[in-house]
Amino acid sequence: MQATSQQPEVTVLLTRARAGDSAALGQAYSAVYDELKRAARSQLRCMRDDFQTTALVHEAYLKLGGAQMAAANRNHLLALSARAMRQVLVDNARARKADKRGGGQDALTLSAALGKGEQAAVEVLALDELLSSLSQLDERAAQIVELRYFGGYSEVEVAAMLDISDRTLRRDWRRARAFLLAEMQA
Amino acid sequence: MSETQRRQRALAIFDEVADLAGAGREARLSELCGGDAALRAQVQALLDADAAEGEPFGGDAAAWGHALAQDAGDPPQDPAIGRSIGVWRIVEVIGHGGMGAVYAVQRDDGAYAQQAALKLIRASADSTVARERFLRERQILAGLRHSNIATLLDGGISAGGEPYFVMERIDGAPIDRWCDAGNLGLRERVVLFLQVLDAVGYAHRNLVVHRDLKPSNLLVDADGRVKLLDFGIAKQLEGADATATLDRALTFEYASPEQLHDAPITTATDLWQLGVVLHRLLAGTHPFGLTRDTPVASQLRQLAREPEPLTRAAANASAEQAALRGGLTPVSLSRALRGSLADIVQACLRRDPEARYASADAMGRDLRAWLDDRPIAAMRLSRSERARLWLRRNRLLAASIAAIAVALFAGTGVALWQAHVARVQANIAQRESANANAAMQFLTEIFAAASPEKSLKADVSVRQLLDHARTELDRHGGVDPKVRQPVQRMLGRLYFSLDDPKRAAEMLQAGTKGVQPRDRTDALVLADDLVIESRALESLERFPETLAAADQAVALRKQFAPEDAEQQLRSLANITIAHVQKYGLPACRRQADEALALAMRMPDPPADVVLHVYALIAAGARFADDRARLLQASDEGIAFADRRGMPPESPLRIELIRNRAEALILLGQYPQAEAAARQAIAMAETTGSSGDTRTGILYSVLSHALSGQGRYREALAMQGHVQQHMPRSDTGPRNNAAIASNLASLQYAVGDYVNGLASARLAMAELGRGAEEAGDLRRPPVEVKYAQQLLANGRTADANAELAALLQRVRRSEGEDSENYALVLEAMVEAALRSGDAANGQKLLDETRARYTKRGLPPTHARFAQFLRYDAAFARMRGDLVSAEARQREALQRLQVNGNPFDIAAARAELAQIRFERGDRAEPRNLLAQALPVLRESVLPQETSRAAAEALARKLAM
Repeated sequence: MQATSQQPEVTVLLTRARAGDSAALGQAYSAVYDELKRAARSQLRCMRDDFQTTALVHEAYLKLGGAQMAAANRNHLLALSARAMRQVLVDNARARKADKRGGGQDALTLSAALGKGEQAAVEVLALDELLSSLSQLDERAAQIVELRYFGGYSEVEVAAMLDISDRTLRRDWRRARAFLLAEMQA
Repeated sequence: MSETQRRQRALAIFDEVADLAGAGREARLSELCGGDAALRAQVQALLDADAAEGEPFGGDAAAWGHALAQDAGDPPQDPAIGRSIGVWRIVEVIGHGGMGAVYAVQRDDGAYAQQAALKLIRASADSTVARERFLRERQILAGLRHSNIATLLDGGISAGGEPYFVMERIDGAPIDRWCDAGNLGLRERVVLFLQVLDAVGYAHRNLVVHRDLKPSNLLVDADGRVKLLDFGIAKQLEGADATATLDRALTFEYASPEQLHDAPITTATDLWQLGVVLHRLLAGTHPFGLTRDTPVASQLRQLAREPEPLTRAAANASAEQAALRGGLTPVSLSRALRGSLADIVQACLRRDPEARYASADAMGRDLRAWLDDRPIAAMRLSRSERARLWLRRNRLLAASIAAIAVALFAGTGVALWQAHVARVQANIAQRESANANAAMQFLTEIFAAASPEKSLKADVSVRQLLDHARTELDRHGGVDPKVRQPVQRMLGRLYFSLDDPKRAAEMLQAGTKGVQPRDRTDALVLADDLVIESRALESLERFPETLAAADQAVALRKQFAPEDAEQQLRSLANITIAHVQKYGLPACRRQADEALALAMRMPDPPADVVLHVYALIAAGARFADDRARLLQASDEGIAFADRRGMPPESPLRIELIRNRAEALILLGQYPQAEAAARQAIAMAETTGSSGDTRTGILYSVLSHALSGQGRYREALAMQGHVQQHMPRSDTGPRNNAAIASNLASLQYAVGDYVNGLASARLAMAELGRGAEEAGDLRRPPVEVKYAQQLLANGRTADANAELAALLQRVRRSEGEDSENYALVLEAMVEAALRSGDAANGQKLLDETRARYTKRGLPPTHARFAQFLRYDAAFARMRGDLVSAEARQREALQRLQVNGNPFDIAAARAELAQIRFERGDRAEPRNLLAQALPVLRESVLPQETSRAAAEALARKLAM
């Protein structure tokens, strides 16, 4: 398995990450996450069971020893898990679109059933694009949006993770919301 | 401005005006936008959006995930179908779990008629070690034959290197859905659940832990029989990659606290998961309110809280949920769950694994009792149990020895009804004994009385608690020794784990005095206690008593367990400083190596003893200045600790890291040593698992590492911490002398000569206190420091006298080729320098240089650079400025390679002085400009080098 050849790198990164090197943490996460994504992709093709994104993210968290970390690093890791979730969903949404185009499915017979999935794909891709734009303008606001939508965290949790006050959070969120709505109208 | 800048500006302006209204807003808006129409339009768009209703997106990750998965449409034909794995042909894809794919398979050769389920595990077994482990595991699992466990038919490793298991295919529904579909009432659910407990109990008796008990692994077939799937399979996933010790549940939903915190997994882990499943079956919800989609951070947070009581969960259940449980309403369901059932679930969901049901059988017994309307055995958390947990939360964490003490402790209170187990755990003889019971009872009462609800303050420390227990014991003077002594020993161990060797020794000596062990168990318990006693006495430097206790322990082990390898190991590992004094360091080092060799020959040596041996080897290396072995032993020990899954905050691990730091110091790698020392301190402080003495030592190491980098002030600040943690009254004379001497060094380095002299004097006094042999290797450095302090305080004549006498003594006891002899010579060079005696000084310097070279100090060592500075100084005194400058420049060059910032600055300042005396002004200014900031940062104004530099600076009108 490819994972074995990657192992030395991940070990080194993990050690550095545990010593507090947060850049290494991000890299370690990516390395571990890539491995998971590869596995996930093959699952996504043939799955009937529920989408195991949360499980994938959990697994990555555990693999990286989230429990033993200092709080600051752990928050960083949890924030990254929202990023991971975003990536998985975006990949999946793109795959869906690709399938549709070449898939040759009968649009009529499946239209009703496809509604939800198609809509989800559209939403995911739209939000992804908007987030990319927003992060160039206001990084923290973008992070908040990502944590809330892709991370599923509550206001209180987001404020704690980013170490900002409730007031700051609400102001940022308000700005972000206005941005998102305005962009979608345009 | 660029488009991006405009958009950024728009957002910022939005922020400012969003809360304004009407004309005020318009005004401010115009003001901020200037004439930029595009900008204004953007802000307006934002404001309009802000005023609009609704959220930008209706969904979120969970919803989108579901939607995307559901409508995946017909999946393409899985390429696996038709292929073979081992002797099994894949017929159909059953599903994909977190562990890997599951296929329905058939055997072509007819050896097995039915369809089976093949689980391909997404982990590689391509190393020999992994293969062997997998095959061993398969053997064990194949041996599990129980009507409620899905039989393992086959297992192997695929061509692709992936392990697979084949088991009988179960056609059934997960237990929770089965119960709901059949509208089973509470009693029926419990009866069904008992089948699960039967299976789990059976597996536990065969030493197999499931680790992944959840409804989807508990299937019920058409006959109403429960079948457990995937026993022990979760274990295969570990060891496949870097995080070898990681054992995980694939969803946090059923994960136990120890799985989340990477602590050891035991049968208690299964009990936790059973508790969660039972809660769900009875009340319809997760005890911590988790769902599959709860995000990671929320899950952790929720799991840290207390579980929702069963009755409350039921009361909050939906009407539908209640109806599914036999046509009840939420209110009646809640009522039905009151009492025993709630207690049973509670007893599974305790965060401390040891507090849960001891076994699935025990849980089963209680459930049967409920069915029969009999009282159950699991107690609601009694006051004593709460006290115990409260004490635990107050960080009575395990040192390896104290771990046994904690287990002792665990025997009190909660599991009194688990009499058998508790007594074994408490290492008390396995016989009905009124005395043993009485001892337990006594302690239980003491600690129950001290629980927060009662009179003692909420923040009473564990130490206060122990003191309280001790005084109580004293008060009950008439207590039978057979009751009293075990209690004293227990207290002694607890004191030791709190790093109070004085009390520990006191208690243990009283508790072991005159005890005659009756049988093997008694004897080995007594031996363990004696070992702790000897360690406590070692800390107090009462060496004859140390040896007595240690020897008694060895004798007991020999007498009662002569053939037992583990006991032999414990005896070998029984080395203290007293032993070093009596038998010499080389002999003790050899014994430590022997102990390690024996441990490595054992299949499963006790981790705490092995780590202790590593610590001994490291200590021996440290004493002998064997840098290489010190580093090696530390690293090996740390690796061993990792392999055994030792928690990071274990004091043994902290000890290993400390050794590592010391090794690095010996190697001159001060920044790395600093990092290691800080790591150890952080670990010790966040968990409070390190007692005072240990923490004090860690700070001392950190101080040393800082001092090596020339950061004297910081190093001195650390000394404050050392003294805080190691007050003189509680430590022995050697340690005190070392502490005082280190303090003196730093004060000297920083320029605080007055206090430095006082500290040095104190160190000398402490040395005098300990009944030292004159030939103790560690005396001379302390005496040299004392002489240096005398010099720095201007008492040159006294200093010279001291040094002369010391030189004689060292020559006699250690010889002229020893390290200490060279050390004294070096000090005499400095004395000559201060006296202005260049001729003598140069002679001494030459001899010193020669001696160090002879001892193997490499020519590149920073010390030789320092000697060059002396050369320069003496040359200056002789008026030979040319030579002085040449030597000084050479010194500076060398120091810039491997000296610390302070030394470099001091050397620069000296060079400045020489150049000044040669008539230059520019270069001295330049040099001083570089040197002064460092000098000012590192030391006090009156420090010799700095004072000289400042004086020169004034002359140069800087």
